Amino acid sequence: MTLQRKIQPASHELFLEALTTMPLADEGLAYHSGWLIFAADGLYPPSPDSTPEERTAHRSECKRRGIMPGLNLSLCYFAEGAYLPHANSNFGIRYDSEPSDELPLKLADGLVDLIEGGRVNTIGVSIPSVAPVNDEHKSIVFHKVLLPQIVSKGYQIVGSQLNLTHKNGTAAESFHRTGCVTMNSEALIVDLYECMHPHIREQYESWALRLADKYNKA
Amino acid sequence: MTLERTIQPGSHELYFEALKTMPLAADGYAYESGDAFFLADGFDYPAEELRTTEQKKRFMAECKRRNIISRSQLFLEYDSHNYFPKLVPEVPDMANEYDMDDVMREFLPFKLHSEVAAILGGGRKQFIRVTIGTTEHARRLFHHSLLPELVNKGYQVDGATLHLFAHAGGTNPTEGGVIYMGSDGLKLVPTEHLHPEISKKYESWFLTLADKYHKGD
Repeated sequence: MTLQRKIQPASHELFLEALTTMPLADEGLAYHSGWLIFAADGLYPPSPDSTPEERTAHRSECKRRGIMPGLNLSLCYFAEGAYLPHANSNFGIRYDSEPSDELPLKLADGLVDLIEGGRVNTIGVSIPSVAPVNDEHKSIVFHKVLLPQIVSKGYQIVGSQLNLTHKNGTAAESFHRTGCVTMNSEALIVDLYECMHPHIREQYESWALRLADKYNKA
Repeated sequence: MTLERTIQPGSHELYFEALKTMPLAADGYAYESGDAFFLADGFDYPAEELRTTEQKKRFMAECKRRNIISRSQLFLEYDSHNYFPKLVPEVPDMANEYDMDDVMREFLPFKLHSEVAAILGGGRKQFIRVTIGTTEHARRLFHHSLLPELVNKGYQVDGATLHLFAHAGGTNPTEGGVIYMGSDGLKLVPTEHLHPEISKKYESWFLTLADKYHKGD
């Protein structure tokens, strides 16, 4: 039976405390892999189907805050032991190709913003699988170094998914997901599967309950 | 026969004026294609032979002070109707080059790579390379919009290579010669194939610049 705990409402403070207090690999309670999305000052870019007014408002607010609107940086753990920008992400820069950009001698708005500089709008961090070796450095360097650094620069957590696994159950071919921690616009959701080792389950449950006591208002 | 002319010393002011005043497609005297290089505040990374840990630290501190993301690069390329960042798969990270030595040195437990920290801090790119498209719109967009925008944001022209057509409507990109901007100064290297009228225009442009900027022998 899967045990699901949902903590609402979602907030950067809840997510940050969850990430800074969750059971980690060095305690023998590792998650297998995951990804996270951060937004500068919590300002997430409008969806592709947003109106031109919404995009203009987002751009103005970004400019006011020294953010390059719509720019995304993808960070990935490399074999060298550090999180570095992803090889093929083109620094994660995406541009809407507006019809107005086709006017003679007008630069794309996104390009002007990029030249002006600032913080990137969003950061995606990919925490790779700890398989095939039980390499805890990947998750620890994220939690202890990258996460505080990103947050100290004014980025807020807006989404995440972390896959939980058995203690030392990290060989790629034998990966077995025993749970999942999800952070989205609505809540922090902790799913603990029946197959999870009772001791690990207890640790994650205790962690989720502490967070629920403090943050749950649903 | 190739007649090479040089204006020295090279400077941002010389290169910027050269790019602003050179004969352009609209006048029927276009170069075919080219690349231009820019540095934020003209501020360059210390040369390899001079690069000590102390110099690197000073460089990074100065970048921070100037709101520059140290050692970050941006490649821009004209793509059908505008300039966009270019994906450069051969560069591990198109925005930032890393010395693997540095990465290994910084592979200390729980230490974040210093240049990733610089990116998180935000700022302007340190280096921008523009590959100028081969259409008239691409050249005009570069000269009339992108160039002023870059300079307005504190970028200085650090170098350029522009290939000349031999004649208006020409198709061979290198037939007419080349214009260089770099550490040796501004060079005009026309070939004998360059149409006399175009040659005259470029020569006149070059001599005007030489009168104002040349201080060499």
